Amino acid sequence: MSELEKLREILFSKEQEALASIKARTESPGPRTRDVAEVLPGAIGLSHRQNPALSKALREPVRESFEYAVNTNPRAFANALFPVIGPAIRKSIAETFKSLIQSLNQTMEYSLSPRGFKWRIEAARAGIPLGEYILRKTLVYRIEQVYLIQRERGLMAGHVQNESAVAQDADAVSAMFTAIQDFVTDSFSPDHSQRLETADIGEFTVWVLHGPHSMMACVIRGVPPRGVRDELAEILERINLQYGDALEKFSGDSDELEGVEQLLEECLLLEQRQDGNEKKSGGLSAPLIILLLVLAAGLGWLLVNDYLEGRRLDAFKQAVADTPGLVATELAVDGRSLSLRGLADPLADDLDAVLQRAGLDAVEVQAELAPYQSLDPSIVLRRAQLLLAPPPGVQLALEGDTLVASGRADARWRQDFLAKAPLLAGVARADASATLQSDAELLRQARNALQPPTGVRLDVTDQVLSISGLANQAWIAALPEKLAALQGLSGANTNALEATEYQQLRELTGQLDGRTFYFESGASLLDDRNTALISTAGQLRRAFALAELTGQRVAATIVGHADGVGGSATNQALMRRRAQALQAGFVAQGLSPEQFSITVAELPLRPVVDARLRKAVLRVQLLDSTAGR
Amino acid sequence: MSRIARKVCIIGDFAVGKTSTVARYVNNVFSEKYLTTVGVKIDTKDVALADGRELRMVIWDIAGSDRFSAAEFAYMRGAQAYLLVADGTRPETLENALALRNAVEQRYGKLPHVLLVNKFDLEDDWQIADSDLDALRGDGATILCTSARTGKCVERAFSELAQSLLGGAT
Repeated sequence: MSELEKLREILFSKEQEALASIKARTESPGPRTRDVAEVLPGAIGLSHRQNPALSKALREPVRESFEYAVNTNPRAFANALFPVIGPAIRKSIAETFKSLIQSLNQTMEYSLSPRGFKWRIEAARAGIPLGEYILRKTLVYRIEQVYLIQRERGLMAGHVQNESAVAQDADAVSAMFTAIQDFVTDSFSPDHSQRLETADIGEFTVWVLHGPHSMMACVIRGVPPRGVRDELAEILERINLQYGDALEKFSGDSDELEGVEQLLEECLLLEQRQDGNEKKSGGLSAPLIILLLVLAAGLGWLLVNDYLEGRRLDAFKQAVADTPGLVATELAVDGRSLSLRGLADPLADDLDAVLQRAGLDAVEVQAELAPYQSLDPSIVLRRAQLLLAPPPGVQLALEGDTLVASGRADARWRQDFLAKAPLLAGVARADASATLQSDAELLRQARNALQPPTGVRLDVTDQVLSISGLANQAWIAALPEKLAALQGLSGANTNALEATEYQQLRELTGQLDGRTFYFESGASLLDDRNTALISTAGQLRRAFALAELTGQRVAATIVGHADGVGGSATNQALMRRRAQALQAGFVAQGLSPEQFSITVAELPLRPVVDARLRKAVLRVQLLDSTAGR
Repeated sequence: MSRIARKVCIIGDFAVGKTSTVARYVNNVFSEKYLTTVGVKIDTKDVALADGRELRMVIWDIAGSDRFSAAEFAYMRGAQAYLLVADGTRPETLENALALRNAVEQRYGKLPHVLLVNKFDLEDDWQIADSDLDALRGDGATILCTSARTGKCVERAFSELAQSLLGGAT
């Protein structure tokens, strides 16, 4: 250590220590911060009072840090603002609603009256919204009394009233009103922040407006628009501006507030009269009743209409559902008109017909129908009718997916039917087994099968074949077999058909019957009769042959006659002998004795000598005429 | 013409006769039922002053109870004078009245007031010595013995109060 340093230490040791301490404080952040913190609040306060520069300088950083704080922790700010913002919003909403409802009431009440219409025109001319114009015009109210009350003492600071108002002791009322105001606030506003602002007493409304040291209570008859409150508030503001201090210090001397009542008088000027009549209280006004009636009628009409529309729609729905080939995808009714969207087979019933069936003829329908092919049996059948064109007398029916034809149809159509029907949508098979052939076709077939000889006539009527005329027995005999082979006939009539052989037989028997052969007095044939006998025998042989051919039975009887001369017994025997003689003659000609029966005639009552009675008569008859037809 | 109005309260224990004492001498605007409902009833009293002016006292008759509640105290707010009522037949009511006066003065400062010792008509039951009252008077208080039944001194009480209210001002 040098002398100089020693000397310095001796001379300045205290100062050096102080300097070191100051140096330490200024150089280390800890102590410096403490120093600044000590003087900072005072320094800011002083600077703010003396020079606004600090405030200006701080403005931006403070704003930024505030922003930062809000962004980083918004919940804290929300919590802080909650108690303030809630009541403010509520109040604002309540005011808005009050105003809205009042406006609505008024508009409802007046917009339908004759005056309402007049105002509508006037509002349009004045370029003001109708609601506003009605509000201006309709609200009937009158401010009857205004009390200005010094709040602390409850002393009346001013009172004005209309000439018609019935006023109590204004001082007492003011005091009592203050007491009640306090009472209400204490009772219903736990934090004492809210005040009584409106009271409704029958046809009166009391509005209370609050200033810093006073309140203004306005007794209003009728229904004032909310806007009037703003005007009153403005008057109170003017009073406060002019008499604020005086009101604060008001001790009860009216001199202190000289002129205040003139300002209060302005409140009384805010009034709206309706033709000098006071507003009716309670009840429904006539326009409102009319409006309600109109609304009720409208509602009723809507309900009835709705019901009818529903019924109409149901009927239409049902009709569409009941119509084959029509499918609704969307159905709607609007008054008298219906709208339909869906699918329709071109063969489905016409929409007009559907509507008519549903009893909806008068209804207008807007239809958007896309074509499609329906497989509904009735539509399939319609399609078959259209495409297969069955001839008259042929019926088509659908049994499952089989199209069945029945009735009379010719082969060509049947063939066509069997080929085309299965090609139709909805038809898988065709069945023509039930079809009948037409008479003409049947006739053609019969003619081919039977090859009728000339003289035989064929006819088919209603499937019944009639065969008439003459045919040889052989053809006739073959007929049943041929007829059995013929199809499609419901019967055959051969009543008018005769075999030629039969006809000959008939003629022959006719000729033979009654042929008479005369005798001598005894039982010998007259000689000249031999020729006759021979030809007769030949005819008989032919008749028997024809009978056999045609399946007939021919009865040949020989009847012996006598003249009765010579006694009965003799004659009886004679008659028998004569018959037997003729029989023998025939037998001699090749006939069989069994082919004849022998009988005798009655004798005459009296014997008559007459050669014509000596005879035998050949009787030939066809016994069975049914066979062979 | 100028009007002068003052807020005057009547306070005192329950059943000392506050309401009945003044009833006959004031304008009864509201029914007594306010006392039991709202807790206060307002009357007015016009007093003609010696100089020709007229003072209207707005009298807050505050429902009495043995203890003055906060709400009732609230009605005292802004009062410019008060009538303190005690019952001469019940000495404790006088004590309570004096205590009440202290409480009021503590809260609202010194105000003009008159102490009414009521039921003076019930001489046999009177229990307050004149000396006690004199002692109180010595403190500068205006004390009147009144009777609601006879009306003794009631009018005087109002004029005393009116004088003390406006004495300084006129």
